Amino acid sequence: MSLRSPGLAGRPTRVPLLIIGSVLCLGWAIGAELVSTTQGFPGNHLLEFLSGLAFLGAGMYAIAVVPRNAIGWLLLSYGVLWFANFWAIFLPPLPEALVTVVANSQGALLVHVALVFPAGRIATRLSRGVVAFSYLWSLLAWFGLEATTDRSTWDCAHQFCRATLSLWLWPSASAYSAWDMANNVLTLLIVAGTVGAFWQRWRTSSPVGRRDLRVLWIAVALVSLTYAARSIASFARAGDAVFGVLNDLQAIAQMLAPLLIVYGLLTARMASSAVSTFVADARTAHPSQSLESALGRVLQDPGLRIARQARDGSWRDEAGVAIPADSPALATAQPVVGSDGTVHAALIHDPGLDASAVRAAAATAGLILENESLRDELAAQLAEVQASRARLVTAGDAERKRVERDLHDGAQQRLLSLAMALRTARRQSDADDPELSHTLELANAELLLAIDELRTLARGIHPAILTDAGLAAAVRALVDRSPLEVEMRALPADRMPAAVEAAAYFVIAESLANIMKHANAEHVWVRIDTVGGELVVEAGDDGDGGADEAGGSGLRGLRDRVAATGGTLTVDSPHGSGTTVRASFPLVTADLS
Amino acid sequence: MRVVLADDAVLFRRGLARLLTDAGIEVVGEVSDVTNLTDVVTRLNPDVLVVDVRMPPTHTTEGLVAAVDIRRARPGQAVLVLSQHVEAHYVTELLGDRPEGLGYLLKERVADDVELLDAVRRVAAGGSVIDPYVVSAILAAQSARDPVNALTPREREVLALMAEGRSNSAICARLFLTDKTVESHVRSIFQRLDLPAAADENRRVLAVLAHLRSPGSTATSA
Repeated sequence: MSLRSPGLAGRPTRVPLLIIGSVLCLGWAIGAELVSTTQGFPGNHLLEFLSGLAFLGAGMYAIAVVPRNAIGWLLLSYGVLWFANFWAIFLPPLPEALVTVVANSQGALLVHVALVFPAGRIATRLSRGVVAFSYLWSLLAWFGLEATTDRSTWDCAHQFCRATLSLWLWPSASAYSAWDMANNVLTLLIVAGTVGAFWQRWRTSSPVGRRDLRVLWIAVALVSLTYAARSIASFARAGDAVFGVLNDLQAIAQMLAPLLIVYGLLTARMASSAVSTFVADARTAHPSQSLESALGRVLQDPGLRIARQARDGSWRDEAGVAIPADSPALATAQPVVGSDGTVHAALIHDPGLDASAVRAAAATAGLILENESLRDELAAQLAEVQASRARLVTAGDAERKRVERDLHDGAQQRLLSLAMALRTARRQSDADDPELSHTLELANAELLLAIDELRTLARGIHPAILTDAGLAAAVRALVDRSPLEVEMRALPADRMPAAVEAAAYFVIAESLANIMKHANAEHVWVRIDTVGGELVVEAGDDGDGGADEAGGSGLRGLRDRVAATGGTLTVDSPHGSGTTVRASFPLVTADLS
Repeated sequence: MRVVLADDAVLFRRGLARLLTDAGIEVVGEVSDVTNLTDVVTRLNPDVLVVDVRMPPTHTTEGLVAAVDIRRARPGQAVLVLSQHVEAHYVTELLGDRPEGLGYLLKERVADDVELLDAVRRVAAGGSVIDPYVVSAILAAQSARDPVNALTPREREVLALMAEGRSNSAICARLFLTDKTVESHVRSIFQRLDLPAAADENRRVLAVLAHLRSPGSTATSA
């Protein structure tokens, strides 16, 4: 992603080249002007020098800032050709004439600049046609003019005259005027074509594109106006004085044009490099806003769409509207690529948008989308882990219940049958054998102990009263049987989801067991309360405190159990100030029941 | 005497039926679920219904719920609930505030026919029975909490028998004590537990139960 600031900073290797280039340009301009002055060329030397220099300077600057953009090179070429006429006199006649032809065709470069501004690439077929035609025609027209100029008709004593007469192929005054006429008409046509192509670009441009083009309007208008004026004056066969003024005006206009163009170029470029920042700002300021509308706003392209490919291969924008796979918009869309090279989406944008701005936007969008996709993935994984934990706890609870039931309905039932059998045996043995009778009594007593132990075991695994009568009754039964004196602060009788009741019960059971074992407590309390859609259970004491969760207190297992229902467990146990274990459970998630 | 048995464990039910039959009690009906228990009881009109607390389909408290329903439909019907649970909660659920002719007994009492038959007969006669183990389990915890104010072992024995719905004279016979001794124990118990004096055995059961279940029971012993 390119976030380089416009300027030379960070590119030291190019600096010497640029300095050498600038010196050469200056030398080229000053030298040419010296030639022009000493050889007696007509015209305003200062204006000529300045406007040529303006192109050279603007070109160099643009190359320094955006070397890959053609505009800098075009402007530089224009400046070089501007002075080439003067240097040409040192050449042999034929090359001199050819250089003159090429140099005089420089107007086509301006057409080119106007139609590729600011991106540096030709965008429409009309533009391409106009640019190609203007190059072709300029070269042809000047070649024709040079070829048909009749030196003998010229009243010219200057050295300068020689330069324009060297390509003396078919000297003919009538042929020359015909060429001249054709040249003027077609120049007007080229100007009209340029304006037309420009108008077409303007119409298809997004607001941001128009903002960039607006500067060019002024430059093109200025230059076109002077060219048009010259052609009209030529039609009207105006005097040399008029041409002199027009030449000056053209020089001034041409002096301003490159400066305006470079200014426009830099404005557009700064806008594009600021896209990422803008997008980031927009996303921070309006997190709920869609990326699509944020980017659309920054690029001033309300039609901007972020197309994403669904699993079935179809393309959809952020609003879910399907985009046909063969849609031309999709073909010209900018791919949105993440840091790992995967294509996340395609940015469908206004073709008039500056390409580097679109690339910057796509790069930013790539990071944001990648971030979002990672976040979604993480959230999905977390949800899956939570669901799986809840399932584990639910399955564990179900298993505990099943074991408890099996103990009651299986093992205990058999022990009861055995008790009845023993009773029968006792009755039958009563009369004759006191020793056997005694043994049977002992066996019966053992059996009753076994039944009681089995009952205690089953209750520890999963108290039936919790299923039968709910949390409050189960906790009360727990407290009834506890050797601790427990104050019960609130006991709502409402039933809650089974997983929540079980988790809450075991929090209190475990806490009471811990208090009994470790706390040295005088005062113990239990609180069960429903507050604002939450169940809060609390077991506290005024004992030693300093309960260590890692120390096998069973609190860690409880924490997991509570978390599986979406609740939280906190243990407050400062040394010497008692322990409070507090668990809260959301009661809105009814799917846990 | 005519009895209906409701228990889904066939072996146990058969054994129980035989125990009762051996004792000269007529078992007029046996059912293995509670779906039409009310109809059966209405039709057979037994002196006592003996029902297991855990019955199909969920094996939680179907038997207890059925017992309460039948009592609502037939207020005079004597019911003895057999249970595996020692929690006082179930006893309260069953006895409510009209304990006449209701009994809650742990299932393992079937090992001792004297105890079981006694409970069946007393319930049939309109008495109230709470399994002594349910009472003593809670009392044991209470005395562990507060040894100073705890009842003496003898007093606990007396209280358990009171909870079983026994009269003073029955307690005398059971503990081989004189009338006067038992009376003084009962007075001491009522004083210590701050219970309202009640002469009637069934009321005494309720009073003891209320004490066991009162929210402040653990706090008042402090």
